[in-house]
Amino acid sequence: MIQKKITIKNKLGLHARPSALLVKAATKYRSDFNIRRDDTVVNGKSIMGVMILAAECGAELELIADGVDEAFLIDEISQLIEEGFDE
Amino acid sequence: MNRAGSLQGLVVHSGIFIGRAKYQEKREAQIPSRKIKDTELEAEISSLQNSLNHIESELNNILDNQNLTETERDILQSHLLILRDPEIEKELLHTIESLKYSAAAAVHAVYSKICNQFKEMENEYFLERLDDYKDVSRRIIDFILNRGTSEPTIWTDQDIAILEDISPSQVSSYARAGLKAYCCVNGSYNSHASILSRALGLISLVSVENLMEQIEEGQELILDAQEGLLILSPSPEALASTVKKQPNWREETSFWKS
Repeated sequence: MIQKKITIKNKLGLHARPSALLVKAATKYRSDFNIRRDDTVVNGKSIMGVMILAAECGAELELIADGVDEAFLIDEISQLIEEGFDE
Repeated sequence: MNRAGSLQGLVVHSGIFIGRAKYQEKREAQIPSRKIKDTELEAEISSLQNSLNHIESELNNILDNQNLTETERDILQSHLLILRDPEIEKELLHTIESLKYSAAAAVHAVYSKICNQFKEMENEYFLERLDDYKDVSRRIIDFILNRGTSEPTIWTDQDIAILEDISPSQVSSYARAGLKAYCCVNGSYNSHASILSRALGLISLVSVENLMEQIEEGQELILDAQEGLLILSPSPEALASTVKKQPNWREETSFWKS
């Protein structure tokens, strides 16, 4: 299992388009993927879950991946967030 | 006796179309409320899976085949993600297996719960997303209850669809089934349905008051979605001048001369 803390960088936060990009990217991998914000943990492959996080710019999240391709999953998702979803 | 005159509405996509009113019945699908028996469990689960698979490939077909704008693509992609949300699927299976709901009733229950949660958040962003969840839910339920056909209507190129509301998935399936123009009682310029209508070139007028009261099935109409007007039972003079206004008037429209 890999855990990684990360901060949302794009101005509008995890709104519709970034959430969709994140979920689509995560779904390609076989590993389980959760995202934690404070006390809330959601399934990172669920668009509804990611929406409920309502993560705005500056929000601190923890990515938690568990499975055969966990490192690749964390890499891709981190990159998306670090690059601010190209926004 | 058909009523003459005209109705005003809000132009979603500009253009002029001469045709006949065709009502699209609101198919208020009757969702079975009885609990299912253990022997029916397997059939209900496969009915759910079939409907999800079918709608997924329908959405993928639209995404593949047409020159969509980025906005449309985003809308359709978000519908796909909702349709295939693993948390929602888990909840649907649980509702069928443990609570003994039929597939359609489970979809209705689970999506209603999500919509209510979103409403409680009293946040603009969640309210905007509501329509997508409602649309996906309605589409699955329609598919399950119609046993396979989620788009039964075939439109001729003279039809102007008359509806109470139109959803994004109706817009895309009707356009593919040949519809060229529609009018709605409700609707707004920036809804997902309207964005899709513009992208697919459907001549459309929404927010037309008294639409259902004024128009009869088969009535002759001019949809002047340049002026935002729906002209009822037009006079020969009105038809003649409209024909001249139409940029791409073709011979097919000559049925009006008879």
